[in-house]
Amino acid sequence: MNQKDLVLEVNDLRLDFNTYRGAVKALNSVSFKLYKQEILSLVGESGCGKSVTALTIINLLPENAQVIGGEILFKRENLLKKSTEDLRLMRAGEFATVFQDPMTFLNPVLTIGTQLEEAFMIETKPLKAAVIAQKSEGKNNISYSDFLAMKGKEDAILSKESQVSGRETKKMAKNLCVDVLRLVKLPDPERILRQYPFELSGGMRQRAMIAMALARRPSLFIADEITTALDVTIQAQILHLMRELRDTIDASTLMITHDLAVAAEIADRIAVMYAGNVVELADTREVFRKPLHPYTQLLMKAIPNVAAPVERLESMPGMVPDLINPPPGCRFHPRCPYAMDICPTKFPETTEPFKEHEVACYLY
Amino acid sequence: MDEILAVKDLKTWFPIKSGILQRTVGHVKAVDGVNFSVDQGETFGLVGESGSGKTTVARSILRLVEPTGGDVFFEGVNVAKAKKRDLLKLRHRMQIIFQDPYASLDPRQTVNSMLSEAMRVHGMAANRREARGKALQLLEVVGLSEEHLYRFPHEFSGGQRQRIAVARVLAVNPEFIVLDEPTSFLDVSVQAQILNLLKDLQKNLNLTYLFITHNLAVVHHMSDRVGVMYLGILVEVAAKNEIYDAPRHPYTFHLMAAIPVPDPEVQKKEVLLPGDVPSPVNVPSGCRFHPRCPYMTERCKREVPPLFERTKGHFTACHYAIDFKSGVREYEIDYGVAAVKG
Repeated sequence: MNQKDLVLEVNDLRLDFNTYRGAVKALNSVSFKLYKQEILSLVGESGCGKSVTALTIINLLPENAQVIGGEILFKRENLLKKSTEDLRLMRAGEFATVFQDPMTFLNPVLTIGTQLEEAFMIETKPLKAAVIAQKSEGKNNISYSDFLAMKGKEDAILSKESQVSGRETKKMAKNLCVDVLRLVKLPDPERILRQYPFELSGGMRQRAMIAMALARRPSLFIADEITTALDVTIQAQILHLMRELRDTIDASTLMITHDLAVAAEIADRIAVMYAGNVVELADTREVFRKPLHPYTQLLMKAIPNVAAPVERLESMPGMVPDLINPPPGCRFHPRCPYAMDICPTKFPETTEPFKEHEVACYLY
Repeated sequence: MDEILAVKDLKTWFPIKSGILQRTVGHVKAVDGVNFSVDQGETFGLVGESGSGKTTVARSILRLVEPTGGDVFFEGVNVAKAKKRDLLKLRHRMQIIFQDPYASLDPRQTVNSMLSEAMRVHGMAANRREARGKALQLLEVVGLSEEHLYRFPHEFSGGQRQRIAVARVLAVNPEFIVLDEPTSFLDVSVQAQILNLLKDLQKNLNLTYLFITHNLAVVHHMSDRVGVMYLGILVEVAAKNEIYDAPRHPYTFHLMAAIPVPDPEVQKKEVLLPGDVPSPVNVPSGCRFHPRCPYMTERCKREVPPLFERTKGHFTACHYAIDFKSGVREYEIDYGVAAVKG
């Protein structure tokens, strides 16, 4: 990872869910940085807080969630201090999220075309700018990549002259719909636009969701378990698409997955989470070559690997702790083979024993 | 080794009904002519993508769904044609563990009552005390303890529930167990515990497994032989290492290439399979894989390739021998000559 622009910085984020059984201490201390055009993967088992972290960033938490502390800096502005309306605008303009099960997020009674067009039409200013640019440059068609390049320049373009009819805007949106579907490799885009979600397969639906996310020209792309509901051959297609998009569009991706193998295939860097903490964070190759945290080490030995088969998997004793009464100190210590006297007393500080390889463990 | 299970031309079709009269207008050919056998003490892995029919194969073998045609021989007895009342006697010898331990355990029964019920139905325990004693032993075998005996399913975690499901199956002394995605609901750290438990039990109790999963890394870890399903048929059956290292069917090859490897250092050549699995209502003519196959010819559209044993123990349903490295069809398989030999 080179010194690129910092897009997102999460510092010591702490969050509780208030339930009738007591407070679920879902996030204990989550910190990471996300740079421009990189894919950072949050990896961990269920309940480790990876999805909650994503939902906190885009402010889609349920009502019983309460942020206890920390900050989320997006382009140097603290999102936690912003008003709901500001955040709504940011969700519309800067963030895009794709979730695990596309069927739950697509409207079953509207065509893909209607839904995709709506994503473009949320804000008409960029579309109007595109119409003017098309006229002034005498082009037949504005492609999605032209549209991407126009980001941030709308006001300059619009100030020249501003007579664009609603019909022209709509036509532009339709054009872009076709082009963005082509970008996500959906065959025969014109036909897909007329189809309903149930007519598409799981992989195609997920592509349509990605297209809708792209319509907003996001700077931050959050992919929450996007391949979990898909078959392996389709998963390979979607991962391939995500890698291509990283190079073509100008976004940073926060990829949430429970599958270390998927993270290994796609991420530039990996943050391993356990029970509400980021326990290790480093370059993908580094994490796999030299896992430092005992949890990461055990996790890697627990997954069967076709490329390096073993007779017996090494399994971790016990299970993920109940976060209403999490273990004191380091939350992993009851399952840790290297647990020391100090572990239950206080949560270990994150250190950087190797360059750009962070770990939260008393061993280092 | 002795054959414990032989599946011969198994077919399970589900009718599609339509209209006011609910006339059958077509069939979903979930399983459409499957042949394989499982030897005593081995683990036979059945892999395939969703909708390929692997779960239907398992359920048809146990007669949890009625097969439309074909035979299933379990130690010489034809399960597919057995009378209902004879089935009970067979059932304690062949058991199944389901994917979702939240759904497969009765929420209103304690562990003790679940295990005892299984024993009572199959006449495994003379009285309650004996059943309780056996239940205790079983809990120990699966890594739980006496304190868990009078608890209800909701008091357990997913991994523990799957252990209870294993205990309930073991309560009736089965010889053959179908494991239908037994770890896909579990976290990886717990998955490893359950897989290790299953391996230990197999060794200690001389069990035979039919292991069904979409997770190719898990099936590789567990199985001795593997069958690959595509759209209701088996396209390739061979020893595990042959399937993973030297696949012969183009679908198997692409499936193996799509497995994500938890090691960024492994340089994988990216080979993507285009398109999606077609609907099992309208299966493609000839070879079912031909619309997605990069090596397709006119012959593939017309002729159905049989599941053919090219070398000992390695069956493939493809008309061609393909070198996947260079991407060349080397030669056509001549079924006739070899069939005479065989």
